[in-house]
Amino acid sequence: MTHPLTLTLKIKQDPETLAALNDLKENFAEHIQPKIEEALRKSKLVHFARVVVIGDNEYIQVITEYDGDHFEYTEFFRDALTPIFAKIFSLADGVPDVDNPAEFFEFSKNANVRTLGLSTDGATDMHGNQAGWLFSAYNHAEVRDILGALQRDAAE
Amino acid sequence: MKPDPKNVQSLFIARYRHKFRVVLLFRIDDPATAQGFLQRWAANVNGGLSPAGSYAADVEAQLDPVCHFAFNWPGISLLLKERAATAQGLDPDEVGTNLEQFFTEEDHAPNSNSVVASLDMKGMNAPENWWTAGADQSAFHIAMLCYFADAAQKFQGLGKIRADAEASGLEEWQFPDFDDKALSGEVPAGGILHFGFRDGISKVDIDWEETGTPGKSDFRELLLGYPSSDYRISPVDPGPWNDFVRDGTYLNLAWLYQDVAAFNRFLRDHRNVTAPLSGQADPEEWLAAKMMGRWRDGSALALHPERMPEPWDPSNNFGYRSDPEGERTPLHSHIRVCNPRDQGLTHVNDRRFPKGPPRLIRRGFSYGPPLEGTEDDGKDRGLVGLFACARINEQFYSVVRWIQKTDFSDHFDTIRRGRKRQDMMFGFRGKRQAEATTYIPAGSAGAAPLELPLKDFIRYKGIAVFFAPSVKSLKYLSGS
Repeated sequence: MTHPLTLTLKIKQDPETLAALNDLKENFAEHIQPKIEEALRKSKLVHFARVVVIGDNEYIQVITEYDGDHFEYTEFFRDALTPIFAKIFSLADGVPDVDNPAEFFEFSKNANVRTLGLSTDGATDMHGNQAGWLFSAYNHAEVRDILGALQRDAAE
Repeated sequence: MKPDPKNVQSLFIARYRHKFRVVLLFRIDDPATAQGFLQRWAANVNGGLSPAGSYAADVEAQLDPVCHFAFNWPGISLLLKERAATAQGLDPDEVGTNLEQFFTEEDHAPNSNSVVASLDMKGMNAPENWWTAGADQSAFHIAMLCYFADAAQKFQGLGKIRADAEASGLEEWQFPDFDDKALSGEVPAGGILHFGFRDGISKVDIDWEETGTPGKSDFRELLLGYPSSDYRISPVDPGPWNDFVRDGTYLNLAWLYQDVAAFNRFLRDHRNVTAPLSGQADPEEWLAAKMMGRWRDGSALALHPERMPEPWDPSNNFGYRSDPEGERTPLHSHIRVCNPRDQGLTHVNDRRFPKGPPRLIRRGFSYGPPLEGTEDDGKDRGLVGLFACARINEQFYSVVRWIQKTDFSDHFDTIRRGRKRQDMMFGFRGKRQAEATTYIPAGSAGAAPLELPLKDFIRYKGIAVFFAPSVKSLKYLSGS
């Protein structure tokens, strides 16, 4: 079952935070992106991921589509990407201690924006309610299913 | 800092010889009088590795009753407030993320929508079918775990406790269908549980001195208050909450119904198809063993793949590394799912559990009359499982999820729909997209595995999460 994550943080507008945001943008391709890519590739749980700044530096979003249970893998991502999350979360108010699993869990849960519509595959959100809509061209096949099929295809 | 076993309630680190076991659930109406009750009964709670009445103590000694205590979050909150613990930095209203949300938050209680969805508690496993009077955890605050040597001692002991509880304003949440009006049962003869398997063989050997000895488990699997980089146990920071929870453990209670007739029918109905594969073993015994990972006498399939040894082998020293395909112990056998030992995990789980798969300290007891044969008698029977650990979501709930969906190891990718399958003994077979069949390798090259349609042999009748404080914190909560 695939779930959407739309982590949306309002960026503080003080000069220090905006300078940190600028630093993040400038270093993203060279220093941040490879680390995220390595962790997500190894996880075999995340279909797509991107980080977006929208408005006039008003919001930063971490958007992914991931497999598995909401509560099962939060701790893996916190642990694998602690410095990255620390950098991104520091741009917003109410920054959690990313070394603290409980704080990270609470902050991530509250910062996730529900998608419009209703899920069609039985998916539930982090509150156990019917999740918002997420289109899947391949009937919500999981990353491991797709990788396995691609490997079999390549072997033939 | 290392734990002092004397400060840990003995129930979790020793085994008692008492045959009769009862879990009394009480609701606190007046915290002040409740503390009076606790002072009288908690004063004698055992701590340490060899309490009186345990196998580690003098086996000839007379068995006196023993009791232990655990509390859910509303219960702890009431007692801390009565204690005016805010002055010590323990304000329950400000606990925030000092403790795991799966303990403190109603939104993440076992019967909450979020946890029910996460654990796939659907169909007959759904909370509306739990307990006997709805699933509201506010119905109780205290779990008093009582151990008695014999029926007469139990009768007397329960009478005394109940009289004092009533006088102390504690309201007992009773279970009318049990003779003792409480979750109660006994250690069955020979340790044989309802499905006919000997229990109590696999034990968690706690590494108290952090030696890292293979086969031993870090004490942080059980105890709160010692967070490390490998065990990010809440609270992760020093302070009063860490001091309060140190040497305590979460006690996850799972009331499980076992459908013995359905299990026996399953074995009987597939006797013929199993016979060509079972070699010298009886086909039904062979199938049961493949589903459990142990022969019914408790001997491990990993050590005795062909037949039940004579005499039985209690050895627990085995792994699965040399059996990646599950030819001896099937990948979906119960003991292999609940404790994969040295079986490789997925990268994600390797990182989550750097010291090995999550462990649970199992206590509990069987309840209800035994049943032989394939016709159900309509009587309730099963297991009251008590699973202790330091992290509810990372340990207890992870194992519950693995039972429902075996996707925790790369080995499952080697078989058809391996990650969509379930523990062969246990699982909600109606789970969406579940591959609810056995997967038992046939043993000879090229032969098709045995894939038989599984039934719901076990179902949840209730889950509750408690915290069993250290001996010191128990006294503090008691107002001492």
